[in-house]
Amino acid sequence: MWVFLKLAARNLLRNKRRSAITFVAIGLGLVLVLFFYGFIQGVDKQFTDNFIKAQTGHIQIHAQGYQEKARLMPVDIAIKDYQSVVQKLAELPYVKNVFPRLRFPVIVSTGSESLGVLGLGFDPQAERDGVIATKIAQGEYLSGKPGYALIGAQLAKDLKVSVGDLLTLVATTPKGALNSIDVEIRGVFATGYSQIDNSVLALALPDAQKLLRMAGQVTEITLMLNDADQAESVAQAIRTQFRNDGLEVHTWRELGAAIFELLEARRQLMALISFVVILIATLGIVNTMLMSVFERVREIGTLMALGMTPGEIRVLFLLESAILGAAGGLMGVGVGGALLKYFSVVGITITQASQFVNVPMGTTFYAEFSWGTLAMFFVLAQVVAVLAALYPAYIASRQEPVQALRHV
Amino acid sequence: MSEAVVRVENVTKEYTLGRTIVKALRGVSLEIQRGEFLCVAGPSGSGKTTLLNLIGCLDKPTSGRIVLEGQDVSRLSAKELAWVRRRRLGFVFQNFNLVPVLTAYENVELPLLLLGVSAAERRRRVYELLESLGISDFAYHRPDEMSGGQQQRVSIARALVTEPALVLADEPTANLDSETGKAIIELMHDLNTKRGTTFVFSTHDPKVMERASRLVHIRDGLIDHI
Repeated sequence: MWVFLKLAARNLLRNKRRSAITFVAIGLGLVLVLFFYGFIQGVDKQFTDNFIKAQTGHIQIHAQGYQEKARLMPVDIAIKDYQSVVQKLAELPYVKNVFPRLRFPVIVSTGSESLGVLGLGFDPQAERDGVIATKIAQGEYLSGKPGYALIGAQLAKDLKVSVGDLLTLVATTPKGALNSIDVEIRGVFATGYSQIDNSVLALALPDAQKLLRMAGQVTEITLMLNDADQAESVAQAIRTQFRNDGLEVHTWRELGAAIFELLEARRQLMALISFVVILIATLGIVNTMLMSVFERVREIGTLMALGMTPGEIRVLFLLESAILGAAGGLMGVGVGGALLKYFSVVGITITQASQFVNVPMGTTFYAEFSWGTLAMFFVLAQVVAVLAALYPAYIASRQEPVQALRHV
Repeated sequence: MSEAVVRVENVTKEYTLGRTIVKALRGVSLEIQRGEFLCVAGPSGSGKTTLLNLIGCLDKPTSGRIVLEGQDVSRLSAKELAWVRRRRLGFVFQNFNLVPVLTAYENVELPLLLLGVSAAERRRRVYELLESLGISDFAYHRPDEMSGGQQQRVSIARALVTEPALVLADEPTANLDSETGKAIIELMHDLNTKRGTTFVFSTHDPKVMERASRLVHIRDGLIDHI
């Protein structure tokens, strides 16, 4: 085997420029594919995490029939005696946080301006690390004292209000009556998610329940888990435990199905593009190897005369390609890996991205760096290099010694 | 007792060249004894290269048999023929055909590597041959750094290093000037007498034919006279 390796390596050095071009083609192709793969992985992960944190949580629990009408925020389909449910949920494995929430349509009035917005009653203490709590731009977060509210930055602008101003909230109770309370703006939040900043008014759960006359009730309980992949099994456990309580349970995958299908479609598109890039690189190697075979027909004839079998001739050419693949693969994985590592720390900032895409997205994207990905793509380069050499190697091995020796 | 290294029995060989069938050999029988220094002579196109290729297991006859050291090699597969060549035959080519990326030493060593000979034994045999052929100074030169005569000496060394039953040389002097060509034939003759290596070579140069222990004339695919 050593002699074949030596011959293969020397033959590669014989035409340095051609080998170098192929090496660079493999390397750059790999850098490109690896970088895009790592980047899409990172963006998708970030997107999913953000989506879960800001929108769905890992699991949502509603009263039966709520999800179907969720867009209307029906306050009459509510979870009764929510505190006992919350208590039981908190004891389940993998459950990190339990967030009881009350979502309702509300008219906000400043005296001069009136606007219909999304009301959110929540537990400020439980959600002190949430998207809103961590993004207070002016004023302060809710302390637990009644009569205060937080308002989205864009909404505050639209209503021409700021911290300390009074708002009158008007909402319809489950029984259809109108009720109203006054609150003072304690803080303005700018989450960076236009959907939230444009239209959400948040207040402590007791205030919301008072406004809607829904003491002891919520419309939604959101769970955060330690591990997103456990959502299905936890959801199943909840369905079993609460099967007689008229609750419905959904995981983040179900809640964000439309979004995740979009991500999946994009991943498939990326895979297709990667495939084409790899295919082009492969054809490049095939071409180079074929040229190399046709240039060396007489030499192949000589090696055959010396007693090399067709199989050994095949191995010789496959080895040449494998060496190129290994070298190009190392280069590609090295450069691509360094790029991924860099962008996994520094990230790429795209300003205004969230303005155009009405889904929760951060504005800085981080690539995902993993040794497993690097290893996978290195192996891919090897496999591609060897596959690309199969046909040229076959052509080489099929030479007839007599014709090959006569070749000029 | 003289034993036939090769028996060629009523061999024919046809090629298709475009739409015409060329009958390169039309029924040739020949026996080559161990230790012969046999010359196959004839004009170009007479079929001498075809005959050498068949004896050298590089090609298969259309009909008839070729028996090499008692083994019928006329119907072997490409792989089996490769092994026959590796173990029992040596080749010297008109164009030398050294592997350009290997040094003289490595070119001579290559057949031994294919046979799996140990490193020490390879070194001993390669140096011994380079020495006796007067090219040990060029051991670490690549073919393109050597003259034609030197390259042909390396290729003779490569042909002999496995101690084959038979060395085939198709027009070994055709690409050399007459002086060098003569030296090469003398060298082969020397090796034939000192080592007892059986040589079969072809030529159309009368001066080269003179050195043969036996001369086989071939014309139009038939043996003319011996």
